[in-house]
Amino acid sequence: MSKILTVTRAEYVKATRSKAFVIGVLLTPLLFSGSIVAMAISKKTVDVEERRFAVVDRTGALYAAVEDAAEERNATALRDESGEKQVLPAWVPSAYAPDDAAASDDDVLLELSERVESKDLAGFLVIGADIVSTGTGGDREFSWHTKTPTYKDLPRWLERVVNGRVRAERFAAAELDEQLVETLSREADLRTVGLTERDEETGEVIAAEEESDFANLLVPAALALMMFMLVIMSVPALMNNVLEEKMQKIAEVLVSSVTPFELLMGKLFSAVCVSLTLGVLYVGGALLFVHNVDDIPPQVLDAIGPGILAWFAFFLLLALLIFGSMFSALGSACSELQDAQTMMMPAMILMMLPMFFLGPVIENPGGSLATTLSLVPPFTPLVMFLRMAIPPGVEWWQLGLAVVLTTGFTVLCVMASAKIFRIGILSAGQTPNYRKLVGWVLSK
Amino acid sequence: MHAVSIASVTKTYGDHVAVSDLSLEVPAGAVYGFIGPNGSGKTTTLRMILNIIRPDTGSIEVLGARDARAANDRVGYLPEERGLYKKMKVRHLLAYYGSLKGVTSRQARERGDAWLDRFDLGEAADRKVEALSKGMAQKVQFIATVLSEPELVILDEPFSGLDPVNLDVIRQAVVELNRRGTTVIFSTHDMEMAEKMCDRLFMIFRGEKVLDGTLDDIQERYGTDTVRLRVDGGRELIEQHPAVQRVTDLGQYQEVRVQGDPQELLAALAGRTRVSLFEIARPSLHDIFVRIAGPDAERAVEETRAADAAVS
Repeated sequence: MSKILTVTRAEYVKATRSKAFVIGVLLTPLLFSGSIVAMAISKKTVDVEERRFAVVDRTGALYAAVEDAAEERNATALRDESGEKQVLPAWVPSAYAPDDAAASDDDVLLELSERVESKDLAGFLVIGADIVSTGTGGDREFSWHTKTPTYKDLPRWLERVVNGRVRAERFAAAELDEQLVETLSREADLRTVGLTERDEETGEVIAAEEESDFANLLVPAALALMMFMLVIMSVPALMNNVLEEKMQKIAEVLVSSVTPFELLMGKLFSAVCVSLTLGVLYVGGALLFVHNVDDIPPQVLDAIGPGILAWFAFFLLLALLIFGSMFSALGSACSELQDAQTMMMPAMILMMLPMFFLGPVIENPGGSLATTLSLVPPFTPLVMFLRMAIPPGVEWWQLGLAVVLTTGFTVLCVMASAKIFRIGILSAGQTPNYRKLVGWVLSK
Repeated sequence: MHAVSIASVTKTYGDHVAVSDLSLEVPAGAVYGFIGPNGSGKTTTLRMILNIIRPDTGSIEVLGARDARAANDRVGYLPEERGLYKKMKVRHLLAYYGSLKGVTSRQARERGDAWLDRFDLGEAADRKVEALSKGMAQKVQFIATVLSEPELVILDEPFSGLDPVNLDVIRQAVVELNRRGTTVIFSTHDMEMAEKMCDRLFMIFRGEKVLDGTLDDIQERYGTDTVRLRVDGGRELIEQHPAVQRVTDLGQYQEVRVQGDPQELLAALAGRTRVSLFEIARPSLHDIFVRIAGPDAERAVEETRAADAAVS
């Protein structure tokens, strides 16, 4: 045991004293927060160049509404709150009137298309002659023609303005008061809250708290993502580390002093310690953040309670032992970096698989897909943790079963890996395939 | 008292028999040389002594311990290919390798510094391994091997690739260790080095022990049929004599294996040319090695195999 700890200590010091580690620790949150800041900045620096567009109004009655709405918007909505800086582009509509009154529809579309092509216009809107009528036949064309279909602000605005006008005309034709119809058909807002409880001591009824999506979904998802990141940051590194020792013949010196099993366990424990260090740093940082920011709803603090953090550490530990031993064994079996990369693929996919199901699991944590996945040992740490963290949590028997299964699987994994490691670390020559590795595991 | 006792040990890899029914005893305090061609089972034997690999059958006792790894902290190992962390500083590396053998960091520092000074590497203590020359790295590896003051050191090709100055430094260190009571096992391809340094020699060929004993014993066994000759007319003239079995041209003289009485060869040669050197010698270790593992021996083995195959 003391030798395992010696290896653990040396590996831990080696890992945490490296520049790469310090940079990684600082950089990862920086990248995250940096991308958020970058998004915020990029939102503010939108293109404010005016957008000119033509309207082919075959009804002859709607263009005025578009022009009025554009004018009003250009006058009131382009600047930021302080009124100093323009943050939105102006809309500049023009009614299309053909030079030649006898021009066909196709000629009109072609001519306008050319003007869009030559960047004279951002696009043009075609409004069919019968769009106001409530029937289904006639010219009901309503189309936005552009070269930049991903730019949605303008067509969305046009859709809203034209529809508003069309609706008003229809109400007028039916002699109804639009305001009244809207008031009558106003919908009630549904509020999602938790359950009402009675305080055992005082007997008072505790009102249900408003549920926060941030606490219910974002916090569990963020923790699961962090668990995945901590695993993926340390596990492939473990494999490289083993491979390097083997290729540079350091392994032979090491196993003349410690058993391969002690070496493997020392490395695994070191990976666990490094990950926990990172976890403490990141989770600690996040807790500091939410405790010091006023806008964070109180439910969030409850969502990152000591209970859930303990489970986080437990499942992280299992994931690291499972995948760490797997990747170490693979590293020990290879003789070259290229082989290692090929060998790594299936294990990598196994590790990443639960990430692909994150969406469905969050949406329906009690569903059969989530339940099944959470009981398959390699996926348990991530999926079961996520299910637990999202209210209402999981039934105790499922959790118990998952813990038993996964702990057992972890022990098996470490034992099998130790066998591969023992043979692999001193093997030379051709890298074995998976079938041969199974042979090594089953050998005496 | 034996430092190592190997009893009827066999180790196979798949169909390949790496070591076959080997028994060997290394007395405590000896310098034991392991020789043999590449791939004949030397490294496998050394690894089994180190308990890095386990024999299929037979038993190995190291420093009185039969238990798998009980003696490992008392054994130092220098592998054939150097294994050092490139990115580690020399001092950290020595501390780590020492700690794996139970050396405290303080001891490691004291002993490490003493050795580094002795090898003129004092300045390298805070350098990274990747910044060292090959000779320096080899010396660091040697220090790592002896840092724990082991009772037994196993050196796999300790002198390969060293220049004469570094070679002398390490050889001197090995001799001194031995004088202080450390048992030394080392493998080498340098036969002269083996002759000079070893109390006893062990040769393994195709997984089997073919030589084991002191140099005197071994040379005795291979008799006095070797003659060193220098004659005007050189090699061709010597080869014409029917008693001459084999001539090895060593440049300054010829080493000749003779069947029968060497005096008759001298008489015959003296009648035909000038003989400026005639010395009845014991065969060199080099010569014995080649006799056992040279092309002739290979052929003999192949023939025996073919005959065996025909019989069965």
